[in-house]
Amino acid sequence: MVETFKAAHEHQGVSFIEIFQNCVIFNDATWNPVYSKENRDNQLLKLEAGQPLVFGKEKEKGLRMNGLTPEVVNVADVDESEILVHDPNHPSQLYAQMLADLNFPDYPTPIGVIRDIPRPTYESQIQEQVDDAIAQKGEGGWDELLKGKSTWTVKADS
Amino acid sequence: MKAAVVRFAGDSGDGMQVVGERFTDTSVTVPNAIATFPDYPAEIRAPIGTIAGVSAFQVHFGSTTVLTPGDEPDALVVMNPAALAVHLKDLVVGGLLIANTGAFTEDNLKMAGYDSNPLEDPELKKKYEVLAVDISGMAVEALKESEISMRDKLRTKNFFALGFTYWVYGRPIEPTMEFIKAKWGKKLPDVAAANTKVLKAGYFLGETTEITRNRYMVARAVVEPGTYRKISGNEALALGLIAGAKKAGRKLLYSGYPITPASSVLETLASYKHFDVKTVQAEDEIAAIGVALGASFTGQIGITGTSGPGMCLKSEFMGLAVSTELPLVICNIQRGGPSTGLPTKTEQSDLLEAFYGRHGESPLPIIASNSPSDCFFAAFEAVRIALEYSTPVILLSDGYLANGSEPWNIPGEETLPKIDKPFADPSEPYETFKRDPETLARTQAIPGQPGLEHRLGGLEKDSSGSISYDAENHSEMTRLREAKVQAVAKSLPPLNVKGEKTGKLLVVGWGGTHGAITSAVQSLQAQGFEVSSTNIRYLNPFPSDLGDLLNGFDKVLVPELNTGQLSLLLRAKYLVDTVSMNNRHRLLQPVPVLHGHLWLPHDPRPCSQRCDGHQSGQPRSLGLGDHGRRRWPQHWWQPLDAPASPQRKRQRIALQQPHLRTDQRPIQPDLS
Repeated sequence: MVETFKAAHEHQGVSFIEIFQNCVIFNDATWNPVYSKENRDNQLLKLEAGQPLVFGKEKEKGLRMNGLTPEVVNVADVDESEILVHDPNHPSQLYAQMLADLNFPDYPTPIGVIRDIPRPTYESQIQEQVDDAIAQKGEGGWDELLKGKSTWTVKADS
Repeated sequence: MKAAVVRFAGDSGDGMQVVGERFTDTSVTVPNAIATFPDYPAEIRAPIGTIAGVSAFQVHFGSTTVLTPGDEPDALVVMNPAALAVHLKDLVVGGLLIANTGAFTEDNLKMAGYDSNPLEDPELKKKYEVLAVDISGMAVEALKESEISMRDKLRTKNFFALGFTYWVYGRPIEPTMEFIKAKWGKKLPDVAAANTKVLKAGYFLGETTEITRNRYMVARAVVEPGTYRKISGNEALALGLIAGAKKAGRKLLYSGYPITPASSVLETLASYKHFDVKTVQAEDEIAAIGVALGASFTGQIGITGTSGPGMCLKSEFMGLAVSTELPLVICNIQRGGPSTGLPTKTEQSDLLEAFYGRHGESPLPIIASNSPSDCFFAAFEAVRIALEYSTPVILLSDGYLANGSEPWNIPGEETLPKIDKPFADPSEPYETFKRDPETLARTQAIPGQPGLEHRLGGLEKDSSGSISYDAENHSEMTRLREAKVQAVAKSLPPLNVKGEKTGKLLVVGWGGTHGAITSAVQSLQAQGFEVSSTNIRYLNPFPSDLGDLLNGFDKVLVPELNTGQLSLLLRAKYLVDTVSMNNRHRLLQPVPVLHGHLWLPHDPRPCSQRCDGHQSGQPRSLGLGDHGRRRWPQHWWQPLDAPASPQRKRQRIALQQPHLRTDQRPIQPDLS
């Protein structure tokens, strides 16, 4: 969890973290099938950039695509190249969506950084708009603000 | 003549707003005083020729101060039968009717609900001066050598009508020709040439034809010396916000969601980026105020604007702003409600919502602008109060002010006060809710600075900012938040009273009714009545001289475009038996004078039958519209300037004793 929080803090922009939080009052032990001591090795799929999607005590199980569907296989039974390799920077959100949909009990539960796309942040872009405008038009002054595009003058004697 | 009111009306696609604006801009160059009233439908485009699609623009121009856009026009230009059907009833008897016969086809007549052509009705010619001109045909004829399409030729008919109206009122056509050149000259030279030709053709029709016998001359206005510009309410509001931010040395961030009639504030501010103004069009009203409050939290001045429906949505965030005591300006450009209501029609029915539209005890200052140019000063004041008193502020305007224009005597920058509200100093210990003894405001700490870490949120807190559920603390914090809003009264200017400070009748208004009320009261003062009026700009807290002013009069009349909201507040706070005047369908007209008394409106006849037109110089339009007697409860038929009743006299004497006056009670109860 600490690494996930660190990565989220370092990310420029909005980060979203889902914590599998136990609630002793309303829903106690709801996550035990996924992360209790006995189950975690076989249920949690640790995500690391550039590493294959494998899980299990001996990392004996892996994930591959069967046509359009992800499939859990024994690593020993398939070719190494078929196992999906984690890419948190993958531009299309379809991969991230697929990972996010993997659910107990048919699939392992991914844990770690699912998606991390570096992009200009909204606030930096909006500041750029202001900086560009000032560069083009110069900083706005009182005359321009109050007088606008056209004025007329009434003199005292008219 | 001193003043005239011209109304252009046509189908939504006929360009009535464009010619209305041109006529206005030309009139200010004469110079004339002006006030405008655009009137367009809520639908984006109703079917052509229908009643629902009629769009109009009214200009009141004159050689003396013009306070309202007028009610009944002296001249009505109609481009199709539907426009005639909607607007003819408002034309003064004897007024000028210019109608585009080219659009009076069988289909159009049917869509407007006419069985026969009204222009051929001899009764029409008896009541009005009718000029039936085939404007569409003449525009096309003038462009017979042009190569633009027939559709574009027909589109220029609005400029033909404009040119003709210019001739009738002796206006110069040069400013409009310059406008055409500037707008289309480079990009669409054919269109520019066509519009110019047609404008001239309309003008020369007036010169060459004998169908008009009268030309109407409105003399040049005598106005105060200064530099002027034409400005609309929303424009002025945007400029006032920027001016306030500049004088305070704060960056401005405006966040809004488009809603009629507030959208143009967002659009205007978006063109001022080089004034260090950020604008955000949020995904909804709630996000918009969230963004604005977030901006305030980080040390900018966050502003959001909307209309009635958006105020409801924003109420929860306003409560958070009250609790965290952050500066925030929320602009409500009011429109007809409730719910979706009448988006393009004005109203002032959100006052009580401004006071009480949040759960819990959540007081905040409220300001209402009273004219298009006053929106500038009201917006400036909203920024000042929000910053100086670390509070959200509601700024009330309305559709009529927002879209209406008037000339504005531009104030010098040096006349605007500096707004001084420093942030917390990181080198000193910080207590989140430590208050200034004068203003009771807290000091803001820009988040992210070492040494200034603090906690801020909606849960009740004590002066250190820590969450506190203690009952006494909550009482004290509630009292302090209210006391802080009341402390604003010390920084307010005295009320602007038109007339004496004591007398028989005081007319009290707020918001956009200012022009109509002033106009009515001034005409009565000229006839010798002891009437005064005032417009309350600062509604929360009320100015400290309001109580004395109300007590100086036998009767207090409160005209409002709602069912009596200010009236209710004045009654509650000052124990004054106010008389409410609520006619939301017309701008106010002068209170009728009959038998030496002032009566509230009761005349059921339509305006055109009550008034004898302008020739005799009598005040026109007695009464508030043709709604009949049944609308007014019996007890309102009371003379307004009769001597005070014994009961009222006793009440006034009682109220002169300070310890009995609710508005003078100390905020802190004396428990010693």
